[in-house]
Amino acid sequence: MSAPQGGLHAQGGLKTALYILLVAAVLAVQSVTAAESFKPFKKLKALDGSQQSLADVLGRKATLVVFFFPTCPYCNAAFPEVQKIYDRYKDQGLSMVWINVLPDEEKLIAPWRAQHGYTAPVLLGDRSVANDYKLRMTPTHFLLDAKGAVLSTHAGYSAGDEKTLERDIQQALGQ
Amino acid sequence: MRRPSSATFSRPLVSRFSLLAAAGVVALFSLHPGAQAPARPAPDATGRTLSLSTPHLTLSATVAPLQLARGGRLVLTADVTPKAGMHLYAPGARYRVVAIKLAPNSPFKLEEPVTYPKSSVYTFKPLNEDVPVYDAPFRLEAHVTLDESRPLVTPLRRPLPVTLKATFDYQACDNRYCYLPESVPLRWTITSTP
Repeated sequence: MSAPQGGLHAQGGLKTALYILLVAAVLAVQSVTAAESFKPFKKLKALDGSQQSLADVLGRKATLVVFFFPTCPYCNAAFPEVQKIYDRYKDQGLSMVWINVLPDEEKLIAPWRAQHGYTAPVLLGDRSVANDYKLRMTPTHFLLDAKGAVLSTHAGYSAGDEKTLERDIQQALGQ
Repeated sequence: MRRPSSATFSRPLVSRFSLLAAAGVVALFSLHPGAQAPARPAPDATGRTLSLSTPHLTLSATVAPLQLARGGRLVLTADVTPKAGMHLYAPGARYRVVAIKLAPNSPFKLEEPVTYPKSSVYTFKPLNEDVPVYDAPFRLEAHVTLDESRPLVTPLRRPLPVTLKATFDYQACDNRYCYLPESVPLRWTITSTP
């Protein structure tokens, strides 16, 4: 008697496993079709003293949000290229904002921007902003569409990453 | 949504998924050093050595002696081992250099300078820059004195414990990422001898 019972249990287990896999597959497909919205950040101070929210910085077609701090080595490697991208596409519907995550480096930002000729807008965040977006490294980029949905994310920098970023931005701008 | 065009570009995390898939994602992310929150040492009221591990390094911090007389000096030692592939910035780097710092309003005073060992040179290829770093085990040593005005005993002449709060501050990088700067809290209770 025990053998058939064991067989029934095995059949039931198999059915349950198949059901779980089916549900997982359906949910996975659903998730691919629904982009996640970028969590709106609280109003942050800009260098001109104004307070800005995500809605204030969203671009007509796309927005690049970059978390950084001025003495971050890979930010300093990446930002000359990111600035070029900003210069190239800012009049074509791309908005960009760099959010500092270390308040103790705020005083460095103005001379750092002047030294490197950076003009991309900067907002002053703090460690709580980094925690909100679960940042572990800088720079971390979020490319958003016109409604604020995340199109892609990227952390760190290697030579050539800017080409991938620019290609994604061109697609977001419909080019 | 468009497919990311590079392996380093990732889709947003999904909000719903099966338990199995979620477990898989958690397991995968747990392999990445940047995905883990740094370990925090438990407050140690009596022990001399605090040992902990973060995603970037292991740290063993010691203070000696644990009893302090008026005018006495403590030695705070931090033995640090960067994890494989990681480096921390050493004095002379224009980035955030490793440091031992006392908590604000501490009754203790850090005697400068902290003793730093010899560093090695790391070539940061994206900027073609040579930077002094620690990429192998090293030791920092700081000398600490108690504020002379601080009472060491209660009005009943009982020893008055004093808490030494400090932090070990660092920024770790590897050959692709720089992780957010960390400040590891350290704490000891020092008993005084009149």
